[in-house]
Amino acid sequence: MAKVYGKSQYAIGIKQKSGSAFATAAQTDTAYQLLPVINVSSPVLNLVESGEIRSNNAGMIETDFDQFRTRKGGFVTLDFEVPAEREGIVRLLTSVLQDHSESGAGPYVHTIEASSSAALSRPDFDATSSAGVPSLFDIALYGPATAEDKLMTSAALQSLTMNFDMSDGRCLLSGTFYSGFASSTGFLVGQTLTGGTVAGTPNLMYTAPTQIESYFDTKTLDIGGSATNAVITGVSFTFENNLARVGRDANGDAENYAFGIPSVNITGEISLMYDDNFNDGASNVIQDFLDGTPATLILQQGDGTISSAGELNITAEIYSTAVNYDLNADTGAIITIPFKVVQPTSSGAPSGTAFKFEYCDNKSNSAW
Amino acid sequence: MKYKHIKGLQLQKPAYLKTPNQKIRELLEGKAVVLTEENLAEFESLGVQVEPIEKKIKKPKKEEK
Repeated sequence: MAKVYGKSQYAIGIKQKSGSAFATAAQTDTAYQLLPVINVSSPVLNLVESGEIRSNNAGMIETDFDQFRTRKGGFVTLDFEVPAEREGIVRLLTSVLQDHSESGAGPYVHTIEASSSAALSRPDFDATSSAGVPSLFDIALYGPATAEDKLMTSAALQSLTMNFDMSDGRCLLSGTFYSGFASSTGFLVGQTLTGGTVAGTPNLMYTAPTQIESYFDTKTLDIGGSATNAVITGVSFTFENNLARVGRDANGDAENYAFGIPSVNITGEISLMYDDNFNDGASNVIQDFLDGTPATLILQQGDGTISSAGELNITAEIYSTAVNYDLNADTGAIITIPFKVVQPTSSGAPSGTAFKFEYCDNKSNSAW
Repeated sequence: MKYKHIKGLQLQKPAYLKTPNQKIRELLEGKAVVLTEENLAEFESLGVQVEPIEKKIKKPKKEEK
């Protein structure tokens, strides 16, 4: 009888690498750290393919030699969903926005920001990383037996959703890693990964893997330009950077990645109670929406000072794209506002913060 | 020396701390708790702020004439 395998026999490990090693194939070493997914997904190899029936084929069915497939120019993706852990969230946000600065020496204060004073910039993915940017990962899929492991080379996040799920109780992160290395030397199968402390499995990112909860000490959204307390029943952000491979080396692998072309898109959705603060009054959410007035959304865990491990600040300038109601919700009437994050301006020039994520943890990005 | 909690401890998971749970609970309840050097070093690494409770120094009684 054939042996049956379960998801617990697979694991995904990620290893941060510098852009200076962009073209270096992923290695089977001990440095991979567990991406704590609940359900394991396998890398998807996207090849360049075509196949058309040629002339002089009276049978009208494509022949085998009509088919064309090559790994050159292909790419590999890996979808995932993980509960956000304290020492992992910054690494993933850094990768999707390719921005990061750090201060402190334990605890560390991390800032990822898109603002008029610290605008996002397109990274050079094959240049030496500084403060974790460009942010690249080698990714390992640990299989159930030796010589069944897979490796992705120089992947970065193409998209990431950060969902403060009130029903699950945790912040959940889901997204897609993208690698432009689809050749037999860039996407490696049939490997035997060394494993970490436990043979055949990656090490934990941190030995105290604290999961980030879905709650906020401070949660305000502008109404008529004034920060107003909101009872939030759900909030999520989706980051998309349009990462794409560029060029083709001798193996057909990427020579660099395009990022943010034409733009980096941050969208999201917030659900809040229809109450005394947020309602259909004359100067409230509907009027702000009709006026097209951006609003500042502030979410904070902790007292806002970002000095203790676990403190989080999110500031976003949001432009609502609709206002939806669920007046029949079990917990009372709910307003749901889908939005996109925009850069505020003053007299036509960028002024202020579009998006800022600040987090305090106990792990340096440079030593990650 | 006894210390009182200022901020940050409520964000930590007690199971992952070496400081005993009893001390953590009492600090979060606002009580003054005796902390060791190891406890303080652990708190410092996490940015957990505590403040020492100063002992009142008794003034020597003046001798009655």
